[in-house]
Amino acid sequence: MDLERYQRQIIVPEFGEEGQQLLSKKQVVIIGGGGLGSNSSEILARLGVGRIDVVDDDTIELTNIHRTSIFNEEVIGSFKCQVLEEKLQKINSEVKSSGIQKRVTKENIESIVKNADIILDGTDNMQTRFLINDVSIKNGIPWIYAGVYSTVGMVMVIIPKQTPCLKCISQSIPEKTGVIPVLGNLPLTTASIECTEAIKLLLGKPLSGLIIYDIWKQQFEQINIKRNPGCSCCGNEIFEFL
Amino acid sequence: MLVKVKLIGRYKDITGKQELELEILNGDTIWHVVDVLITQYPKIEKDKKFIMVSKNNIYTTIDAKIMDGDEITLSPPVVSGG
Repeated sequence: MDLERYQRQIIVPEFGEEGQQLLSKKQVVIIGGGGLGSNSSEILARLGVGRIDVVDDDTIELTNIHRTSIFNEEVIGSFKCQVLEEKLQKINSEVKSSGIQKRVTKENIESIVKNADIILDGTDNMQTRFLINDVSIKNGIPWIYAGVYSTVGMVMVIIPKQTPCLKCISQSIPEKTGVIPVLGNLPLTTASIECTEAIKLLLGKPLSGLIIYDIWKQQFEQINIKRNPGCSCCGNEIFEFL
Repeated sequence: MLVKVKLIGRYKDITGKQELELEILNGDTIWHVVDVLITQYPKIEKDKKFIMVSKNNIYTTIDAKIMDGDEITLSPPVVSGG
């Protein structure tokens, strides 16, 4: 590994050369390559995560461009996962990046995430998030929930059997309500928070709880709440989405 | 009895408060607390079905009963865009 690339990062006391070496051995699976997932993949490649898999079966549309820095007009119509694989390699050739052109389903998710040290949420719907939550809890793989709406981003690290899971905090799945409003720079900020939590987890550092950030009001809140022992997923291991 | 309700995110903006106290009966549910708040602050109503609730720092369901000394936290629903 060429440490010169990370010169300014390894002098960060919380991180250090040891953190850099450790990060280079980690594998991250990002489910979804849109606003959150594409920004997260770029951040993690620049940080020096060893392997990054991005799973997405969609193509890039004009409406994606306003909320990600890695896509541009030239790649409209291309598959997100393919563009990301190529771009991540160009950003950091030491990182193994792989674009997986699949829609995540209950049939394939376990094989997709089986070697992951952590799963990152880059999806745009709650159904897939609950599927990720189920596979995470069942297989003991941590994941990070991240979502955006209008000017508000939310991030929460979910460590199976240690922290609240997504099911603990969600009474029911909100109905899909058409096009979701998103201020263009919000996904990048939310992805940045998500990736910071990811590397803290991968390096064994203390984590934050549920983070709620309003980019318009510049309000940042952290909520540290315990697991719900009666949770159907992490408490009773009922995996209704898997 | 009085129950303390902590407010997170936009609920602070809607109410203008970080926390408030409500007069309820021992054994009332969190539904009741939310309903009382909705009558005072109707903007909360659209979140009613999906609001995140915790009791004494443990996530719970909205039908959970409240006993004397419990502290309730109301947070906005999880967001789903990506």
